Amino acid sequence: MNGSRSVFAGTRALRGRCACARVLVPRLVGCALALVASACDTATDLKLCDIRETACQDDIFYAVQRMRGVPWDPWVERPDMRTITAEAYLEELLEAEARRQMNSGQGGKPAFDHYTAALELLGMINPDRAPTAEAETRVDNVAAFYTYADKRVTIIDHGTPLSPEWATQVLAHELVHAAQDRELDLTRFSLAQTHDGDLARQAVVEGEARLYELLVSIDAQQLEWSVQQFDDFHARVLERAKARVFEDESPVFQIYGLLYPLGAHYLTDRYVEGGNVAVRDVWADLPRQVRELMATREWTPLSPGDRTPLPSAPALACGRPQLPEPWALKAEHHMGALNLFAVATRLLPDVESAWRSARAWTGDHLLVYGDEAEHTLLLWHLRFEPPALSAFVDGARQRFGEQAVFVDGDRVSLLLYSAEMLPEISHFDECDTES
Amino acid sequence: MRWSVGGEVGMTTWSAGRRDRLWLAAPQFQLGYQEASDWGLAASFGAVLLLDDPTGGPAQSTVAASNGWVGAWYQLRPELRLRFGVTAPLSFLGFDALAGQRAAGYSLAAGMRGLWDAWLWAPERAGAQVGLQLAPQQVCPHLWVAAEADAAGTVSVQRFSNRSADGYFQAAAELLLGDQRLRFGLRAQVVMISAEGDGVQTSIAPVVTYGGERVAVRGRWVLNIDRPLGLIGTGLDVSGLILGMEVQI
Repeated sequence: MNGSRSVFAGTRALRGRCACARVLVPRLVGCALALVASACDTATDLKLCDIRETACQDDIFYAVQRMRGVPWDPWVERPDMRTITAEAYLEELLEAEARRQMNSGQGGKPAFDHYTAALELLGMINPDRAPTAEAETRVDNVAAFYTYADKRVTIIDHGTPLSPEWATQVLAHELVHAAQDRELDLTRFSLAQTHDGDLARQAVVEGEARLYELLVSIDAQQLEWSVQQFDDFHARVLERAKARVFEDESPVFQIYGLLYPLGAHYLTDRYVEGGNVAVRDVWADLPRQVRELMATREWTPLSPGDRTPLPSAPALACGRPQLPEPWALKAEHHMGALNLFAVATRLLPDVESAWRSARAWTGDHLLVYGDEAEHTLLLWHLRFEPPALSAFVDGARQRFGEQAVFVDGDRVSLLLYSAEMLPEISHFDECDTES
Repeated sequence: MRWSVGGEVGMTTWSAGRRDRLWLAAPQFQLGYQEASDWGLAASFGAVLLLDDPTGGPAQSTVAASNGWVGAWYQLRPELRLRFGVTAPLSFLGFDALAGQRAAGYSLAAGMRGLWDAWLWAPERAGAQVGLQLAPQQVCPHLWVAAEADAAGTVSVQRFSNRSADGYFQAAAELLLGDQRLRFGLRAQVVMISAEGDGVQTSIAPVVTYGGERVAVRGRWVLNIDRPLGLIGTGLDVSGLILGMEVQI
């Protein structure tokens, strides 16, 4: 393939290194060791195997470790593993959700979730969905998962046997998460300052797992892939994920699927630039917005130097409505480009138009207010690069009505509410238009 | 009363993943004190210096401390020494982007020695050790044999692990040719660790030793043989060059 770089180019470029460093005695000693190791190179490659067998699980575990740059580590164990049916997984999810709801409320009654109500107003969640819809979507989309709490990998048995290639990938993916958790304590990585930042971090978590899952898998199959093939693969997965968001009645449940190809593409680029070192560097300087992972140029993520400043105060924190009692602020978030994409799929005629809107996102601030009668009001300030603004505004006015959409330069504000009448808003805080 | 200072440095290199080559030096410094002919004290402390050199990209280096070790020995018989010691958990991985690299450093530092004295490189673990050492015995005019064995245990002091304690057993025998000062030969060692899967590592090492009035020099090239670190089968091809020196003061 023209212009494609081999992922494996230079893997065995040992002789050149030794020739260049011949004047350095320590390097020569190292080279001698390396040459001996090369000469004795043996079958360290992983073979496809049955992941239900312990030996196979061990082999994949060590293959993941090696690929991430850690040789056999006697002090690290493969995490515990279990296999459950899809039905059992659904039951677990529903029980966990019921517990979460009960804990959020008082006197055995779950608290009303104004944030969810706001997502319903925006069309991100279908208000008439079945109570099990979110859990069912997740079960459909998940082949395995790693849980931080008990450091365990769970494989979901969907009733059809996995091919050895796919099974190897699935297990390798989860074992990367186990390694990430061991090294970085992943519970800390959901603590970004913004909802958008959380998604960006999750994209790195999933992207690294996808990258090494693929590397381990092609190792096991003894295939040679080029970077172009990696790119094509991630692009295909991204297209499918975008289509799922577009087609789902509750698109917000599907946006997590976008994080895999976005993160994987970002990290594949880093890996090709500088191997495991460059991947570790991403962890040391995490993206703060999903937009950094998205194509602003055609399928080329932003480099760290191109970062948009965080949409924090005062840029979009202005425009807070002053509402009468008993209305109160219930939630506020920087939602980011992917949540905007989910909304845009409700407003625009096709996936690509919605994606263009998301790519044009440069900042947002969602404010959710509620009262005791379970009424919800949301004000969502958005900022766009101009070319995508008009299409989004037209779509928003069609869906929500002229009175709900306010435009000011490159900013759009959506004002939506579930109360029969709009509460009296005495005034909005002034926006600092310079920022 | 007699003091001794010394140390050794282990060096290795290993191809990680598809694009990275790791270069590791693991120096270890030792201090000895002998009060009488039949007992003495010793301490050691080391570090790992790891360089990850990926194809095309900039290299990344890490320095991390080994565990500290203090111990004592008692001469049971002229040729047989009882030794024991404890390790202080000074090696920490941390929770950051370089934690994996530190883990690689510790596992390579132990691996290139065939996992000998692995508890010195066991991250975030405290330990205790007891062992016996048979001093080189002249069995023929130019043939010497020596042996040593230790048992040890470590406990995790920091990180979540589904195995919070580890057990170790190691044994080695050396067959050397030479005279009172200069000898060369072969060392064979086996190490068992209560690790999951294959926790037994065998290795051989060509050895050269020189013993002067006050200075002793020793070099060995440890070649792991079998899985998980060895040259044959599906091992990882880890080997290490270890150079050491001790000076009596």
